[in-house]
Amino acid sequence: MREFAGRLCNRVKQYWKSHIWSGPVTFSVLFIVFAVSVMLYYFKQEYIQYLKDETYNSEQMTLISASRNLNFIMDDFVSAGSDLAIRPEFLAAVDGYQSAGEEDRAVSQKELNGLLTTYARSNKWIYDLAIVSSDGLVFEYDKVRSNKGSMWGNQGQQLLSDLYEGVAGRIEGKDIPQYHVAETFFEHPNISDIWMFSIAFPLKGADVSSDLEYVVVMSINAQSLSEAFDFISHDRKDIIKTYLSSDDGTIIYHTEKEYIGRENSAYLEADKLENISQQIERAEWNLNISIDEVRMSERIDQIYWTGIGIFAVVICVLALIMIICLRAIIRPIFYIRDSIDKVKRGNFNEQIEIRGYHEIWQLAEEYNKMLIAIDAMTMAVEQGQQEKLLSIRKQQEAEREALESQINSHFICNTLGVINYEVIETGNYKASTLIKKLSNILRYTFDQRHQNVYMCQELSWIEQYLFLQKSRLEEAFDYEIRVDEGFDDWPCRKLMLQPFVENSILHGFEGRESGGFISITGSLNGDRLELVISDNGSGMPPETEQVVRQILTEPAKRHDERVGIGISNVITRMRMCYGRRFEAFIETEESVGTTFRFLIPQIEKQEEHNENYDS
Amino acid sequence: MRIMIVEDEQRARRGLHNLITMISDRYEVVCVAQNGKQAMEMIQSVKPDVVFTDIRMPYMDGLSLIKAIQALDLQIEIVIISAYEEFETARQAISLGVREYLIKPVTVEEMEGGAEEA
Repeated sequence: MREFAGRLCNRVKQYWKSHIWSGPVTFSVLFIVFAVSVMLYYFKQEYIQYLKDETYNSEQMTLISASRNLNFIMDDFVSAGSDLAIRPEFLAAVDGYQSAGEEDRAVSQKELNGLLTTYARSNKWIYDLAIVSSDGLVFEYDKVRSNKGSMWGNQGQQLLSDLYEGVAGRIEGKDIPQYHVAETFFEHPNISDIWMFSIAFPLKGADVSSDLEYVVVMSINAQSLSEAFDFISHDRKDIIKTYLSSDDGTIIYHTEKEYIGRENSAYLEADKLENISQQIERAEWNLNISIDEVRMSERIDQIYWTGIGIFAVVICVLALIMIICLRAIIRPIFYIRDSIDKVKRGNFNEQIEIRGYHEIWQLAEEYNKMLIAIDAMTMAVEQGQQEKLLSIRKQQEAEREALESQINSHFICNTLGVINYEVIETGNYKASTLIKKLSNILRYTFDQRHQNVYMCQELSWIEQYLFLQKSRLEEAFDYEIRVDEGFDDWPCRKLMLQPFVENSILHGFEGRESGGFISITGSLNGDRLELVISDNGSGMPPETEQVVRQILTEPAKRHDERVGIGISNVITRMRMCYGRRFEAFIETEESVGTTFRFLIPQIEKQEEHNENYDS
Repeated sequence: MRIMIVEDEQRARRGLHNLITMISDRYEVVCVAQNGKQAMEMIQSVKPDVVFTDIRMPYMDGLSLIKAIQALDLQIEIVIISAYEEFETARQAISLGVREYLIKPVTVEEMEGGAEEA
């Protein structure tokens, strides 16, 4: 497992390093995540503070409204209870019920019950009305009487007694108002989940100054207070807690019943709540609102982390889009890389297919052009190498031939010198001239050390060559050499014109005894010497012309060796001498003649090769 | 015109001698030498008007001979007749004031021109 994790880690690193977009995308994503996280955290803290402030402010206002509302609700109950307590007929009915004998009790009870029923039905939240004396329960009207008995039946006697004592105490203390609200809420003994509270009123009838004998205890469903509680908590019951507490700090009623009876301070501390409260004047209760700041922070944290999650998803989607876009942008680079791999294996021919116009596609297009240029240069270098090798081989052959002919050269020329004297002494001056020209030609030809000569030497040699050939063939042909001035010191290769002239004489004028003509002209064409050798001979057949034309353009290439060996050799040497600006052309037509045309650039004479131009 | 011929090959000396005398009666070969050294030994006594000399010769070559003659300040014209058509040799010869440089074999016309020039 560890090995697999290591391999995976290495592959991710390798991938990250090998892609140009990895760095920008990673750093962009990290930066955005960092920046947005900091911003969100800042906003979260600010929002929490804002929410607390707003909540406290609004809850303070709500608390005042709710307490006022509670007072109104309590006013209804107090009004109803007070109205009952001051009615003389009600007091008389209670007295009648108390003083009635066995035979009259049923009537009295019915009368009293009717009165209580009338009052109890005036408000739906009044569940029970009880008449209590110092001795305890006197009479009770229970709206929801069940088979378990009445609400006060056999229980709650202590609470009734406390209520009686409470009213009595207020009368004795001359406190206004004289009714007493119980500080204890209790669960209805016969109905589950119904909580009740009670208010005790002194029953004095019309004479308010009379002694207290009876107290009317009105028991009310605590649900009646819910409207006020709901008004406070509404939809934030998980954060806002509403409850009632007594002056001694005990929770007397809470929407969550398990807290009833607990110490308020302990409750706040245990649940880490913040508390605001308002006294309910009618009941001497305190209406409390506690705010669960921890819960509030949790809610905001939940929103915050949900936001972070959504943000992370958005960032991932953005990163994915960025990666896809970047990969699309740099796709040409992949093509170039693949092409480079092919080039490394020697394949220069596969071009990149251009599919766009932006800068990297332009680069790919330039790369294609570069491939073409490299291919052309490679071919040129290969051709140059072939030409060079051919030239070296021919040079070596020439040197070997030169060595072989050196001895012969001196011997022949000296012998010709002796023959010349013999001829002159016999008076044959024409033969002397022929010997002279032959000797010059042989000396020039045999001198293999000096291959680079001047144009004037080459033209002089060709003139003597033509003179001898003309003498040999008598009237078969005539010739003319007409070269403009200014080319005498142009460097050239020795014997570079001989094969073309020889071609005219041997092939062009073959079988002819008169009328042949060879013309050699030279003039400036641009910055090159245009040298034209033309004859009016038999011309060349198309297949020979084709071979010669190929030789003139690609002398290093292997051709039909039966044709143009001399031309091939001399063109190769001329290419080596003059470079690529040298050009050779042929025009020939059977029975019309052949014309060779050369464009010869002027080349710089190398100092170290000066000797080569000596002759 | 009194002419001295300096040539190491015997047949060439004879052929040149015949050629010069054949061209005109005005030309008189007064002395022949086999090399530069021999020529210098005789030149003071002969005092020719023109010296026809080869270049490559044993003991003293043609260029050395020319320098030696010029050192004597005898107002002698020099014509070179050589079998070797070498640029550097020709350049040196011309710089030494040689009147003509003829390449062997020499025709009658060339010899006439060379002699007239001298």
